[in-house]
Amino acid sequence: MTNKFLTTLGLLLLLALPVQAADKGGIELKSTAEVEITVKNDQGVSQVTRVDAATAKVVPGDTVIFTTYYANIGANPATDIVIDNPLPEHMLYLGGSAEGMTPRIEFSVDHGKTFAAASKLRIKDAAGQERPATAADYTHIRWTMVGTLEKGAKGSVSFRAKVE
Amino acid sequence: MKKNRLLTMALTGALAALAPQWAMAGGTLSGTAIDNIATVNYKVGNVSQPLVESSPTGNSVTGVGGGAVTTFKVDDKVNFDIASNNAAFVTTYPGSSAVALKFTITNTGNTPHDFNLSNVVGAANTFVAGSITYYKDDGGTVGSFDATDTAITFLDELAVDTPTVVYLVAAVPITAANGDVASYALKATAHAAGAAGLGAITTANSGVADTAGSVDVVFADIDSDGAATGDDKGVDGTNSISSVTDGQYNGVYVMWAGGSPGSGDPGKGYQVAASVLTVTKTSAVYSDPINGTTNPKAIPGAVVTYTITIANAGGGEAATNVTIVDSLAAQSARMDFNTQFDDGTVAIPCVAGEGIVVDGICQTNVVGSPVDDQADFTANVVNVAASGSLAGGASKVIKYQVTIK
Repeated sequence: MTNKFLTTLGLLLLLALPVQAADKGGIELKSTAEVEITVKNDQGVSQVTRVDAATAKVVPGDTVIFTTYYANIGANPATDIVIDNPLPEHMLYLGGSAEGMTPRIEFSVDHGKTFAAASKLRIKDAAGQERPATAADYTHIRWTMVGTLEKGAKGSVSFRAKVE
Repeated sequence: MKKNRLLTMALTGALAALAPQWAMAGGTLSGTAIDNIATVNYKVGNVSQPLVESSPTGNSVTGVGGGAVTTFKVDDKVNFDIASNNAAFVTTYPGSSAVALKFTITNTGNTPHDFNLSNVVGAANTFVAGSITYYKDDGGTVGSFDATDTAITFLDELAVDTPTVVYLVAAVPITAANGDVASYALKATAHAAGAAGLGAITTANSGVADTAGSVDVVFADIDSDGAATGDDKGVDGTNSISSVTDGQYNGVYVMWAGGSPGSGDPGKGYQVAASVLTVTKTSAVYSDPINGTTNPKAIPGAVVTYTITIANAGGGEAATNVTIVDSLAAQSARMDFNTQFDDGTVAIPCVAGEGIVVDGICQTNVVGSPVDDQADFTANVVNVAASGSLAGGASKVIKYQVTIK
């Protein structure tokens, strides 16, 4: 509690905000959705570049890269960091595309009730038959950081998914 | 740790209340917002801290609802197919008024569209079909062209994944000859849906940046290879419509009747089946009062045999309702019609009143409406109604005699 209070206080002071209606946490989270497009540069060489999905043409079948940037903006080291990202509706996870915070990347096929490593996930089909889950079955992705995120430290996690 | 996990589970469970929907073949509908939000749970000094949600610009406000979704909209993937349902030529006849070529249009994109209909005329056509109109298969028997189908110029509000049969219907000129062919392609152009009536033509904003928050247009198969793979999504907006190649260019799809996608084959449209009738009339003197039947001459009192042959050439379509009319009225001052035929060759000699021989059979005078090879030869007008149909290669032979006055 003390810790939290200090963190909040420190944040308030740092930001020098006269009135802070909402509580600020010690970690800032920023999420982006991007697509890769191929453009030709001045020399006529094709280069792959990432653009904001909101300002790119995205149609079914296209792959979108979701990246979550995390930063410890608090006054203290943070531990036990767990980032959860439900797979957006209409998106299919692309197997093996989750990056960052390895090796603790787990998935859920039951809307976040349980998480497990990709190789251990099983799912029941309509007939009640159990089978290994595939990437298309994933509903959630979870990254669990091993160790400590020091004050001021930052990083990112990402995954790719295809528009249904 | 345990508590933390529970909290996370509760939260993620809530966020995932949105169960995945069944995807359509064309994919997620355009205009659908794809929202993403991530959540972090952590500890400071081994004490669980309030969760923090993500936002597009970075968020540290704690608690559920503190963040904001990172969102984009699914754009309009224009893709559609036309299939020809005519595997072979459609046989038609000179003067046929409404012959249908059958096509099926399917919107395989992710957005409803209107589709304006037109056609492309085959370069090797040997006749020009008239009155080309389009019909939607919405009446009578499903899958066949009926009088109750609705005439249209465009398909209004064609939903995704709903194959719709459209008929290209044309008339065949009476002058069309046996074996003439005319190929037609159905051409559909994507227009905007959303209201009754034909919407504005759909154009790809090729080379133009996406308008954030609005639905842009992407042509999925502008290289017309039938697959979306490797397409440049309208960056090259220079492809023009080819009149000989099946395929889709900038929202236009051309499909030949009887063709296959990408074949460039003018395909198979209408093929005319016509009877090829020739009529031959010959005369020969059968007898005269002086020489009898030996070297008879055309002198007064001589009997002359007329032979009319109606032949349908080999390969000609069978002709039905064939009637032959030959009027001797103008010649009545110079000749009399013989009411008993006799040229010495008919196996069973004609009796009195049997003045005409049709295909070797003697016929009496049937006044009014002769049928089945019967003859009406009232008032010096010969009128024969051939029986059945006259097939290609068959002929009908009619003989009668006159006496020179």
